[in-house]
Amino acid sequence: MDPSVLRKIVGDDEATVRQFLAFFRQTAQQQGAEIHAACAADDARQAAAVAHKLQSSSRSVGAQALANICAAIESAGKIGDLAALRDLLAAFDVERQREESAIDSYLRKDDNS
Amino acid sequence: MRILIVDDDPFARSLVVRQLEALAINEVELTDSAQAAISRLALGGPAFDAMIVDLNMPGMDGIEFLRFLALRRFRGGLVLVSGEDERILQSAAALALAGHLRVAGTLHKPFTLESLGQALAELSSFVDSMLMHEFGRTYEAQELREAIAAGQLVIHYQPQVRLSDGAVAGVEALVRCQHPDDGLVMPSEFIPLAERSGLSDELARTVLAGALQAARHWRDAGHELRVSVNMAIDNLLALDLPETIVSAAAKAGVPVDCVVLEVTESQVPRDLSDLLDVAIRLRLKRVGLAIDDFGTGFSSLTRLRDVPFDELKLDRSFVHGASANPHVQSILKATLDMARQMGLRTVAEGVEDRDDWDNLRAMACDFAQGYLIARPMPGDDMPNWLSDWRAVGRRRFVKT
Repeated sequence: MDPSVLRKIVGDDEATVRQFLAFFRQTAQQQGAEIHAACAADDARQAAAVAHKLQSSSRSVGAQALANICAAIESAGKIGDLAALRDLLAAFDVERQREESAIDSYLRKDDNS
Repeated sequence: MRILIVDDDPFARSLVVRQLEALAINEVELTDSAQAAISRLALGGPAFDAMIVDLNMPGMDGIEFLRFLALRRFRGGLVLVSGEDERILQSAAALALAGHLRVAGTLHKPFTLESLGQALAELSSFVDSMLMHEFGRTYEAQELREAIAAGQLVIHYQPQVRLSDGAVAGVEALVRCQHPDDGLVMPSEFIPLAERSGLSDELARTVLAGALQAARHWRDAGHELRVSVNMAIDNLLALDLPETIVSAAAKAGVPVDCVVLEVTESQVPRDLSDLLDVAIRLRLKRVGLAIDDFGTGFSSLTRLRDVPFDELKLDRSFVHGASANPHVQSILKATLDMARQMGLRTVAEGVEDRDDWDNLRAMACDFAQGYLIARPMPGDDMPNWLSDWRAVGRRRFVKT
């Protein structure tokens, strides 16, 4: 993730930036679970719909790699390709956890400063 | 400014709320679906000046919601947002414009604070004051008849200036109705009614007479301006129109070649024969004939070639912001090339910022009209505006 991307969207106020990063972390976790649940229920359209939202949110915090995986999930979901969806889930989890740690360390660092 | 956000994504909604806060807009309401927005609107209360609408929502999507707003004639501004590609946003904007909705901007998600700020600035340019009524009121034919008789029609004039040197060439006469309760009512709210109820002839004559009288006053003050007047197709199909124009101009003491009649592209009939009769005689008498809103009516160009138009007015949707959109830019360029080859004078409507001006100038469009130059104004304000423009305004755009 890249806080400078988020600053262009919500402005320079650091407290706001941190608040949105925390909100994003929570959103990504929750929507990640929804994507998993949709795949488990063979509901490709639902997976696509959730991935579409998470894609925009990811771009807004500069999490481009996660956004790209979400875009791939959305495309696979729209054409109902469940096999491709399940393949993408592993990469999604790795990337989401990576962003989560990046956000955690950013929030901790700011706490100390 | 009161704004309604319609978006199903909580994170996206929070971002916009924060952005509006940063832009000092505090009257904001949120809905998480198109249905919820419709229910909220049904509750009434103070009007929303604008809506920020996500196109991609489950259930009723943004496009269906736009259809609802068009049907109810929502008068506020719209900012369309989507995570889909730009072409979809552009098409949605075109669809909204075709439904006479006012689109202040299209934003690709996520969008910066700056771009939202620009869209809202755009919005305040056409929502002149806070809206009294969110949706267009329905007027009755009788009310319009009485308004015309009571002299409640007011004509505002919007200047057209030459792009090459900034010289003021003419004005477009734009009719409004000063309603005793509703304030200034815009033409989109009563022109269709006039056309349906056989009042367009009376309306056109009243506007023509008023505009010619104004032209006379300006000439007396030393300003020779061409005056463009909008005509419904029914007006243009009246076989005695050329004689009516000539005698009205003579009565006002204005040369007939200063009069331009504008007809909207979408109204040009499939069968051209009646139109050709009148159009040719108008041109023989040196009355100008402009095709208005060009680009919005899906006309066949070869068909239009047969009507002796001498002016082509480019619709705002092909003008404002064109330089930032390669797709629109290529349509604009092709249209201007074609107009040149057909010997038509070109007037661009909706010139709203410096980029629009520079872009049109680089493409050698002839004339520009739009908020960048001036908003429509009462006829009495024209002489002052003209001297300001000559002294100061034009120097911003052309070296003198």
